[in-house]
Amino acid sequence: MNFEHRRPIKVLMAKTSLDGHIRGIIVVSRALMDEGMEVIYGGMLTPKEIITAAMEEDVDVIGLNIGGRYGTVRRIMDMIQEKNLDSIIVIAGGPIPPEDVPVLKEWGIKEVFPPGSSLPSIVKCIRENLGRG
Amino acid sequence: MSEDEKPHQTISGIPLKRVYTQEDIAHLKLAEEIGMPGEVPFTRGAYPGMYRDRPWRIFQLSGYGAPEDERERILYLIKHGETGIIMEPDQLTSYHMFDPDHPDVIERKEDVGLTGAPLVSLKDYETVFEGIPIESIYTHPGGGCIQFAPFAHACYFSLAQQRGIPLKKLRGTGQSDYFLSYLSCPLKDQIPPKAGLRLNCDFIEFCIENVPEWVPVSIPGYNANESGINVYQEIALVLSNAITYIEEMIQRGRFRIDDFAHTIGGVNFACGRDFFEDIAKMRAARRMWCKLLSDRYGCKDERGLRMRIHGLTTGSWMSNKQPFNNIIRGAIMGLAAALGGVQSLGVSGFDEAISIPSELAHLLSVRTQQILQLETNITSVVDPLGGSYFLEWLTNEVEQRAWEYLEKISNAGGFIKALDSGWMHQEAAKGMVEREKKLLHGDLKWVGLNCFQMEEEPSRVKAFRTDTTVWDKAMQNLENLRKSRDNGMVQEALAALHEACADENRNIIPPMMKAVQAYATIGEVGDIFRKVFSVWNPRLPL
Repeated sequence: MNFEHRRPIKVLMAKTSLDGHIRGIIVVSRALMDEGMEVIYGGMLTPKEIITAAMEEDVDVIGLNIGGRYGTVRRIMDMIQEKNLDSIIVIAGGPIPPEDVPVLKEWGIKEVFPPGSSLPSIVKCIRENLGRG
Repeated sequence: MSEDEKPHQTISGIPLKRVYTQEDIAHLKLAEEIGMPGEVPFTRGAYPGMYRDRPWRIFQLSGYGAPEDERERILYLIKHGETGIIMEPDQLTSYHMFDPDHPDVIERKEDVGLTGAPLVSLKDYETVFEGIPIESIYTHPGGGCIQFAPFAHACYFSLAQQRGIPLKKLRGTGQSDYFLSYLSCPLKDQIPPKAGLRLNCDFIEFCIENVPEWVPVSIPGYNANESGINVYQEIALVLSNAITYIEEMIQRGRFRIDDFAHTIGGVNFACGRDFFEDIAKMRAARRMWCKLLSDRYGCKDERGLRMRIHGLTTGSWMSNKQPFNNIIRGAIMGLAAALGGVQSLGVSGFDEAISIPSELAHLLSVRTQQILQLETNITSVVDPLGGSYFLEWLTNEVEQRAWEYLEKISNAGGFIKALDSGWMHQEAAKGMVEREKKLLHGDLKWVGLNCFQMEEEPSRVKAFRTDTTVWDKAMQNLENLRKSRDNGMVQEALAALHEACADENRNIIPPMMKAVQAYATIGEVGDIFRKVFSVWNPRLPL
C-alpha cells in the first residue's frame, strides 16, 4: 500500500460535560497534531453533537474528556451502535477512578487514560487500534 | 554528561549554582529591598508578628451533591478545625448561569452536583448555611468565576440581611477570577472579559461602601500556574490583572487609590514543585505589589500596599498512582506556603487525581495544616529564611524576570487584550507542553509516574461517589420555587436588573440583591447577562 496517499488519522476531541478544565484535552490534542494527525477540537459537546460531528467529519477516532459520571458516555456509545459507527475508535481521558475502567471498556471504549498517562501511550493506542502502528 | 554536570535549574528554568554566598546578594540594598516584616516593601511578610499573632487560615475548597450535602461537608470541616469556608458551586448550572431545565444541562443531567452543589436561587444558600454562623465565620460564598460572583454574593449578603446581620460585620472574600473561567477552565458561552471587568468593579465599589470588611475580588495566580504558566509569569499576570482593575477604578473616578487599593490586594499562589522558588515567588510578589502601588499609582495607604496571599498546593501534581504519596506532597507544598508567609492555605486531597475529596482526604488536608501549625514550631519566628544568600538572590531573580514578563504582557496589549486575542492561552500551552516533554524525557521526575512505578498498586483509594439524583432534586426545587414565589415581583426585579446592566453608569449589585431576594434564579439572571453583554469563547491554541 502506498502510505503517501493515505489521509492522516482524523480525531475528534470533545468534552462531554460542562466542566471547564482544558489542560488534559489541550495537551493530548497537541501531541496528536505533532504526530501528524488531524485534530478537530469540538470543545464541550452534547452526545448528539459529538455523533453528528464525528459523522460529518468522517473521523477515525473520538477522544472524550470525561470524569466521575458517565451518563453522556453511555448515550454516545449507544448512538455509535445504532448508527453502525463501530469502526470509530473511542478513547477517554480524565480523572477516572481505576474501578470504573472495566465498565467503560465493556461499553466499547478502547482505552482509558487517567491523569499522568504518557502521551506516546495514547498515540500508540490509536495507531495500533487503527492498524496503522 | 554525568549527573554532576547536568545543569541545575528551577522549575521555571532559572539556572542555579552549586552554592550561594555573600557575593550573590552584595548588589541588593538589603535594608530597602528586604526590610522588616509588616513594613514596606513587605518582602518578609504582610504583618509584623505573622503566625505569632494569628495562624494562617485553614481554608479548604469544598462542595458536592445537593445543597444539603454541601452543608454537611462544610459542617464536618468546621467541626474538625477548618477556620474559613470556600464553597464550590456546580459548574453546569451555577457557573454557566443555567437553570437545571436548560437544554445544555438536561443533556448532561447526571453530571450535576459532581463538583459542587447547584446553587440556583437564594433558597439554596438558605439551605447550605442553615445553622452556620455567618456573622463570625470567614466565607468564600462560591463566587469563583466572574459571571456567577455577583449572584453568589447577592445571595450571601441577602442571607445576612434575613438574619439581621449588618453587612458591615461580614468577613470573607470574593474571587471573581479571570484565570479560572477565561484561561484554565473556560466556560461555554460566558460573558466576555470586558463585561467581567464591569461586574468586578461594580462589586468593588459596592463593597467599599457597604461591606467594608469584604475582599471583593482576589486574583488567583494559582489558576494561571495550573494552566502552564511558570512562577515569574504567574506574578506578572497577577499584577497585570490588578493593573486592569486599578486603571478601571481610576477611570471611573469615584474612589481614590487609597480608598480602593486594599480591596484588590488579595491574591493566591500555587505552591508546587519547586520549594524555594515558590517561597521566593511569594516574597517577590509582595515586594513588587508594594512598588507597583506606591511608585506607579502613588498609593500611601498601608493596607493598599500590603499584598495578602492564599496558598494552594498544586492539584495537577497530585498523582493517581500510589495516591497516598500525595499526603506527603501536600505537606511539603504546605510547608513552602507557610515559609512564604501566606495568610490562608488549602491543601489538596490525596485523592485529587481520582475524585473530589472524600471525607477522609478532606480531614487529612486539615490535619496536615494543623500539624504544620502546632507540631513544627515554624510559627515562632517570622520569615525564618530571610537573609539566606540563596533565597534573597532567588527572590530578586524571580522579581526581575516578573517585571520583564509584565512588560511582555503590556506589549501584547495589556491583560484583557492578551486574554481576548488568545495570547495568554498560547503562553500557557507552551508551559503545558514543556512540562510533558520534561516528564517524558525524565528531566522532571514524578515518583510513581515516571520513576519508581509499581506493577500493582500497594493500596487502593476508593473514589468518593456523589449522589446521582442531584439534578432530579434541583428540578423539584425549581418547580416548587416557581410556584411559591411572587412571579410578578420577580419579573419587576429582573426588569430593573436588565436596565442596570444595560446602563454602564449604574451599579448592578443593588438590583441583583433585589432580584435574588425575589427568588429570581441563576438562569433568569444569566439570560439577562447573555442578552446585554453577549457571549465569549476563548481562542484556544489548537
